[in-house]
Amino acid sequence: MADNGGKKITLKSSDGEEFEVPEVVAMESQTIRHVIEDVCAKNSIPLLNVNSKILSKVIEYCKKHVAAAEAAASKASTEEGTAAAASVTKPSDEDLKTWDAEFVKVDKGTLFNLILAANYLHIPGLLDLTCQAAADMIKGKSAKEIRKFFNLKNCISPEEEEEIRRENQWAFEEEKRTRAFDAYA
Amino acid sequence: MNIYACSQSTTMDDLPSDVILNIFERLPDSTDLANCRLTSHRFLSLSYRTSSISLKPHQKHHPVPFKTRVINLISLLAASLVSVSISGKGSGVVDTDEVDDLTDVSFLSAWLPLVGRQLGTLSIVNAPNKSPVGFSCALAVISDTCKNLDSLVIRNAWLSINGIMLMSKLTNLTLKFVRIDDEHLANFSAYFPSLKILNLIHITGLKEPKIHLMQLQICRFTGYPQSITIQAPNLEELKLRCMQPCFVILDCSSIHNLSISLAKASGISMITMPQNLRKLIIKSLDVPRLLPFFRGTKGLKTLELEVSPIMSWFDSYSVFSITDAFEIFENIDELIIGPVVWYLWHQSIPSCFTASEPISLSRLVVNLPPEDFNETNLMSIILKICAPSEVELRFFSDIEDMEKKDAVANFSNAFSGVRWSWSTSEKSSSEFFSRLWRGLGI
Repeated sequence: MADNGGKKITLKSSDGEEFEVPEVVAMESQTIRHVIEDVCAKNSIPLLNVNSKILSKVIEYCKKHVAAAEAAASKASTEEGTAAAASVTKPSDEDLKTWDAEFVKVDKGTLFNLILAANYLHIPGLLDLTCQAAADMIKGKSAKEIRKFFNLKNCISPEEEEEIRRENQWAFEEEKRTRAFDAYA
Repeated sequence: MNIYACSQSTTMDDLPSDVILNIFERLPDSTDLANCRLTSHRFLSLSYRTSSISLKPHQKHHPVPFKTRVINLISLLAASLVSVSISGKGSGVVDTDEVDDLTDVSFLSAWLPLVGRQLGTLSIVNAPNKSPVGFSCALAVISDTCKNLDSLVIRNAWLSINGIMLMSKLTNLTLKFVRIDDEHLANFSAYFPSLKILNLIHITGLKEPKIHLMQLQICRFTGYPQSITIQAPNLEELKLRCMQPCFVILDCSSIHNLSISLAKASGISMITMPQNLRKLIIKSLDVPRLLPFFRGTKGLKTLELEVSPIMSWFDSYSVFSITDAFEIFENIDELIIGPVVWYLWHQSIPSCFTASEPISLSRLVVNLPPEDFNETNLMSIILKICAPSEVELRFFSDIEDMEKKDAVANFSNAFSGVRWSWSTSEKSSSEFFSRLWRGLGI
């Protein structure tokens, strides 16, 4: 990735750690991009809502995707880039997908923090990736398993549950994996 | 609510509502959403704002029939729905009741008007192997109610063109295993003028379709026409597979990637010679006859050639030489040889293989047929003709790793002036043999 002479910017996490990154990497975040372009920020941007552990992961994601985009662009320019030329770079698309899949193999807490960070910093690709990972974790689980896995506070009474199940049967189709009334089990 | 992405105890409850909706929209089917609704009040209330649902039948003898449930669910979520996907194919886990034709007009009319105004994506997949009772006017109902539809997918259906109205916002259309009652697709561009991506896969009922679409960028067609005309000045990628002899007429000046699979071609007419064709794939018994139709294109970088052994026309197979290709296309970077070509050359090395002028390819890719990896005679001749810097050997998926490594080592030792690499195809050798034996009448 072209690092020579590119402008650098410093991102400061909520717990005080500083990360120096090329400006183009930081601009993967639309939030940061607005700050840089509209507010003419100084060289250091404090991110009060993101801690160092999560910020370093976010930066890792942005660096990888900026590098991949640059590689694809330089290949396409030698082939007069078009939509079709982009489809020729399939091997590196596969590599990026594999990398992304590994990137989200983290514990739930980290995943939710990544989702919050991607949302706050407006990084669409990262938000898609992390939300999809969360959806994949829900897939196939029963209501009880979902609640347990995600530590959701259950406030649904047995009567309400019965009502929801009726509506589910009427419209959604719920696979009967658990016994009725095991919400409190 | 926790907005800080720094707490150890961040849970799903801490995520903002629009993020939770984002996650809901990615759930593969409504069962998962149904289960989410039982987990908390918050999830329950958010479920009514879901903008995308996907439904397929799960249980046999469900008290509420599948179609009724679809109508109920869509009425429930009508205000927020933007994307609807219905499949008559069960998940396969549990025995499911047979679901009737989902393109039935009375079924569609019961719910499409509820969401039509804002619906952007619609997908209807019937269970395969259903014998339809006639052509459905689904397209008429869809085009009448869903004026903002951007993407439409229909699979396993008989569709009538009667009564279709203009779908000005449709950019993406996929019809797969569909029978159409219009032999010529005469008014296609009148109905779908803004199409950018068109997939007509295993389409029957077409005789001489004429596809004339100004905005089309990607087109994939698999069918049985006698002739096909594609007039699309912005088309960049075309994949054409005609299962019987066919006359092909192309007016696509911007085409970049072209893949043509014709067992036996009556001919190809290029109305305008593309000046930016970078990748060409030809699969045919008639390769040497098809190649000259592309004379005059400039800038071809990648050429892939394969013989498609289809029985009953195999006597049309004409031997061809690599030099035929080099004579027509100067400056190819990469040549890819299909396994049947290699196999046939191997059986009897064509006498027309003479190196006229030295050509130097950057890369040669050879799809090795599933045996005789140590045979280096043919490779020696081919390497002399095209002098590549790099050769990639592609193996069928079921070849043992050890065999692959041995083969690569064998070739590397025999021809050390070249860089050797290898990869694995998605196809298995059983497919290769069955098609070949049928083609050769064995």
